[in-house]
Amino acid sequence: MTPRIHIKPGTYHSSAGQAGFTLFETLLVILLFSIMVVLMGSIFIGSLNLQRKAFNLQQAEENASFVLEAMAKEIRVSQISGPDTNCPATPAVSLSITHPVNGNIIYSLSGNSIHRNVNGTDSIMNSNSVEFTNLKFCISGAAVDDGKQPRVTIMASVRSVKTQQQASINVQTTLSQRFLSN
Amino acid sequence: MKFNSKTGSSRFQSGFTLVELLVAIFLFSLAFTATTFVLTLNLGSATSIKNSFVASGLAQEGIEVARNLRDNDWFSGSPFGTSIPNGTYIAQWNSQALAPVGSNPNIKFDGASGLFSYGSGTDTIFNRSLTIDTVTPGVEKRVVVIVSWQERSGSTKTVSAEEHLFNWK
Repeated sequence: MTPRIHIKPGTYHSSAGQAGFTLFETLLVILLFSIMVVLMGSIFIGSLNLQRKAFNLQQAEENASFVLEAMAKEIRVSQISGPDTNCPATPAVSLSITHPVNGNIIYSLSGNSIHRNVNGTDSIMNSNSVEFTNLKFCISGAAVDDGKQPRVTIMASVRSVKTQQQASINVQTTLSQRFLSN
Repeated sequence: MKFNSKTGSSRFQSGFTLVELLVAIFLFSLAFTATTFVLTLNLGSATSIKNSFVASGLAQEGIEVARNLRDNDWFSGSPFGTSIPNGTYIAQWNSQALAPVGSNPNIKFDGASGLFSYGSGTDTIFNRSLTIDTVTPGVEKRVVVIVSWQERSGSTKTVSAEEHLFNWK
């Protein structure tokens, strides 16, 4: 038996006499909606990337700032060990100093981290959210009776570990030894 | 928007009008513009802080080089301030004498060695000048280092550092 369906116009909500959405209207709505979604999505991704970049930059800056400041503070008051370097061709990869209180300190770069070795005890100065890609020292005036006060130039490059929107900083500073040494 | 309670949805019911749609889009875009603006500002600040940090390293370098030259005068037996006469100069990491400021060229960065100098490499955004004057003749000199650069937004920023050098060993 075939079921007989008969709906009188006006008795049912979606009857033939009443207007629902036409196919055209539906397509139009889908189009507009997808345009909105794509637009909003791209703005969202854009803002996310901006935020990532800013955060990576902040990480790199904070680490570089700390490491350089800590090194500068110690190097200034220490006695710098030679020999003089031939810069910029062959800078030193590590710096050895004698601090009046802390003793013998060696700064070096190993495995993308800056190591501070104090009297044989090693520690890492930077956090693991960044990696140092360069740390070089230019030493001059370390020789005895050269008529020059010892001077160290520190060159460092740091970048964020996160490669998406990676941030990197190159920084340099020079320090003159406080302890007079001809 | 009238709602026909008899039929639930009728042919005569109005949906969103164009004006309502426009207002909604306007409000949405306002919110998004504000968010994007804040994030862009955030990145701008982070970049500005980074530049200040690099500049402060370069400013310290200027101060230390001036101090180093004063010390060298002692070794050579020259009177205090011989190597740091009054005036405005430029100097780099290995300078054994101050150079005239001239047009105050930008400091270069050599990617291969990682060195900031006036020698080789590509121009950075930073320039640096050392201004020296006498506070007390034969006793005290003032060194003011100014590192200045232009942000991407076009505004000029400076970091300045001041050091007083004495004729005291």
